[in-house]
Amino acid sequence: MQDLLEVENLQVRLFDRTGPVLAVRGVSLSVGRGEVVALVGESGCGKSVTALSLLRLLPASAQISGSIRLDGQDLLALNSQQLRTIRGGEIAMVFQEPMTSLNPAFSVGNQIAEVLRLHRGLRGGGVRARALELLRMVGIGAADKRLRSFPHELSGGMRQRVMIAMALAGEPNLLILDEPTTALDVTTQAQILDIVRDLRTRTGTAILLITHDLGVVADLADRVVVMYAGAKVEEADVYELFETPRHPYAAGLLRALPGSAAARQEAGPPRLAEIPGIVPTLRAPLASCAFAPRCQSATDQCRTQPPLLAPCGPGGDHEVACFHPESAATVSA
Amino acid sequence: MRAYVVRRLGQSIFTLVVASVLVFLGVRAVPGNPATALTGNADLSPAAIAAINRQYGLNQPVPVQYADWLRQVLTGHLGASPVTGLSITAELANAFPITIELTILSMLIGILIGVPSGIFAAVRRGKVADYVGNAVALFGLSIPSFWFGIVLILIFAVKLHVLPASSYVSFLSSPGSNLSHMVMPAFVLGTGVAAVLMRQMRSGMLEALRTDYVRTARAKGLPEPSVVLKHALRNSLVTVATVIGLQIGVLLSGVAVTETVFGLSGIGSLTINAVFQRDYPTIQAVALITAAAVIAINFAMDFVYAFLSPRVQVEGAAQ
Amino acid sequence: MSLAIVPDPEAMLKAAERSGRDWWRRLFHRPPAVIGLAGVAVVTIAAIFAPLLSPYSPVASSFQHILAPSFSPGHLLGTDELGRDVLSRLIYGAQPTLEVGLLATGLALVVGVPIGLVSGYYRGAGDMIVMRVADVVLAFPFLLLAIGFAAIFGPSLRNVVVALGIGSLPGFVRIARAEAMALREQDYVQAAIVTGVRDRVILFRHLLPNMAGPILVQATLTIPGAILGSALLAYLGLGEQPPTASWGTMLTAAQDHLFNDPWLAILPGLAIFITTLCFNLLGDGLRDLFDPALS
Repeated sequence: MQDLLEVENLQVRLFDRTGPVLAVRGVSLSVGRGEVVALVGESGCGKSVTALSLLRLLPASAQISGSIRLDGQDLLALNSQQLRTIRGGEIAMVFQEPMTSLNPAFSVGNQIAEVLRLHRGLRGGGVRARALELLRMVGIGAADKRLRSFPHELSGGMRQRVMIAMALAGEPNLLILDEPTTALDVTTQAQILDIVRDLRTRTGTAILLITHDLGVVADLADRVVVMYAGAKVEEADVYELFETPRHPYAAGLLRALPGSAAARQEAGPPRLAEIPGIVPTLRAPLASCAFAPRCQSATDQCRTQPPLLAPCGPGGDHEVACFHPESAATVSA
Repeated sequence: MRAYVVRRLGQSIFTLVVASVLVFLGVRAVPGNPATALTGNADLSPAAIAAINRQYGLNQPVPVQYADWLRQVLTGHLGASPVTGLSITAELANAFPITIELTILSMLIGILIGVPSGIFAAVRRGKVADYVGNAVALFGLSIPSFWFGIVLILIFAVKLHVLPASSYVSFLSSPGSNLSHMVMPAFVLGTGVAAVLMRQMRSGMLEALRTDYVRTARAKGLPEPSVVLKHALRNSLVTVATVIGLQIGVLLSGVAVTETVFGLSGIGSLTINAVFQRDYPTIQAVALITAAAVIAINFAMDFVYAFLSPRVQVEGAAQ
Repeated sequence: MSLAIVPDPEAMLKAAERSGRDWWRRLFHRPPAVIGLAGVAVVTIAAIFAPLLSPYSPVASSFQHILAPSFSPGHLLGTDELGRDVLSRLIYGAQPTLEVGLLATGLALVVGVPIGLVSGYYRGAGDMIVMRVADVVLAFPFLLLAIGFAAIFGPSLRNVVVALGIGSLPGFVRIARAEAMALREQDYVQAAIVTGVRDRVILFRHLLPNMAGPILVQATLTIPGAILGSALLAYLGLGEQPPTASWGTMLTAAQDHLFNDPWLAILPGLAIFITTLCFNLLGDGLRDLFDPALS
């Protein structure tokens, strides 16, 4: 059976004031029906760009190549009318900033109704009834009053719930959540995650979860794809990744979690482990491993050849792109 | 909402009061004798001056004079013009319809030309239409209105004999003739407004089209016209409404000159004539009425502003 | 090794420095701004070097040569109703235009910015008073205010400058005030306050230089308005008086001769138009530099 979403060798070139930026360098991933795949990495690693390119929401100057197939249909070959059916109808996206992602001039109900009318063909009273249902599904009380509210009258957590409700209104098969909790405080974060988990069980929608927060990943994901500098460096089942990360970057991310085993192992007061250096912005193709400058295990081979993705570990679905992947021994729990 | 309206009303009234004081004192500030100013007669014997002082109550303390004047104004007694001898109220009543018609027509032309072209330029940003639109707007901003008027008269009245060069025919007596007299002056003023509106609309739309909520609208699969005309436009209307409000003040200035160029006897040319003839009672009356009109219009625009942007009532409190 | 990977702090710093210095060069890359700059330069040169450039004195009248058309012998652009050479009057006419435009704007800037700065920084009762006063000034249409002022205090260049300056004040007060309020909240200002730096030092060394951009933009918006305003007042007879050559007064006289000699009316107005246009182009160019998002 074919996966719901199959992305193959996606390359995205953006343009800023100084010139081209290779935001995504040949990423392939897939999301099965009902599956939750997390796309993880630091800011600037290309995960958001990957998500935006699925719906072609990048600026007109962006160059996208590769293939993106939804149920076998190539999304990159669609004309604008066909694309509009997909957007909101088959794939829906929830953005990072609930504050600015809702139109301040229209009521919440109005903005949800747009999706219902467009993608579900509802009219009149049916629209209102369904909108209320959606609001209740995301845990918003006093739903009928909230329908008439304007975005600025709602708290950040509420707004994010509204965004989720709006995304679900089109009954999409794939829901993309771009850093859904980053802009929220911890308590609200937990509430939103509960809602997402609950929705997933109830509706069986597949989710592509974009985040830099490993806690969220542990909470929700089935599978994890780790990105660095526009390329995939590791992919594994969530349990396997957390237990035995192979790529030094992924391992470093896990070690950097406060309270991680590695931190506890050191003598003296626990310190937050960090990965020195910053994520580079790539403007030209690389003839080496992008992570090499920051990697403790880097050798000359890493600096002269780009490593390719290769399977590692038991089972068949753990891959890593590294010449010197960490062995199980160095990352003990 | 109500608190906002009350607060703005209070501010407007306060501004109006201060303006009235300034108008009142302005006349008193004229070098020379107030009696001279009020009667327009420089050659007055001491006895005549004393008589006039008594008649106009000029011997009383200034605050009392102000109060008297205010009372008279509010009851509609604006006095008589020393120059023409006519009741100022009557003169104003004759001049008002002309100016109002001119202002409304100019505003209409300005909005009908400026708003759509601004939206169009924003959507076609960077392409030929955008540059052309910008160039035309720039021309409209830089052109001296009185010269533009003269040139139009030159072309359409003198050379082509298509439109009349001056004067006015009431709409009620002959709509066609009225409009043919109004077309050129309204166009002159309207293009100035259109130029400003076009730029404002364009920059407002460009900003709105870059926002996250427009991205959300596209992500929902909404057709592009809906994205532009519903989501983006609604949010740019706020800045445009502010600009329209400001432009009315500018328009009233332009009206004065345009009326002079085209020989229309509206409030504008009434003012200018009064200024040249040192007809202070008329100047006083017109200044007050104009200030009141501008303040009232600004207040109304605030209303529209609050209606278009639900947030402003909340944030307005933090002003 | 490819430079593409590791960000080079040294290089980044150098690039930032260079881009700070070459705003001048960036201005030159925009044709409209260059045209504007050229036009402004031409008008300025005409104003400064008028005696050297113009073939005749602007007030030399000659009743033998009234209303000569363009390209007449000795008079490239013809003569006016008093036999004065039009070209010379056009060149000399640049003087009052620039004078008023720049002086009125300068006046508004020099008076308005400190008021707005102090008002926005200290807030409180003083600020409210300033805002109400600005409201009142704005309640009177700009030009009517200038007309009234000039009429009351007599027509002269100086009064026009003052009248237009007062009318342009609120613009500068508002900009300076808004900037002061925003900059005040910046961390470095807060730090300065907390460490006891004196107010005057904060205002002049920290706030004012950082406002230069928006204030310059406001000035570029004001100058064209002042130029148009001064031409208008001259047209109405409220500015510089005849026989001084001024584009506005030339238009007044020309209106009576529209039938016989239309160019008499077209030329001075064209001069005003082009001058205003060039200032606007220059202003647009400068604005683009400071806030490219708006382009």
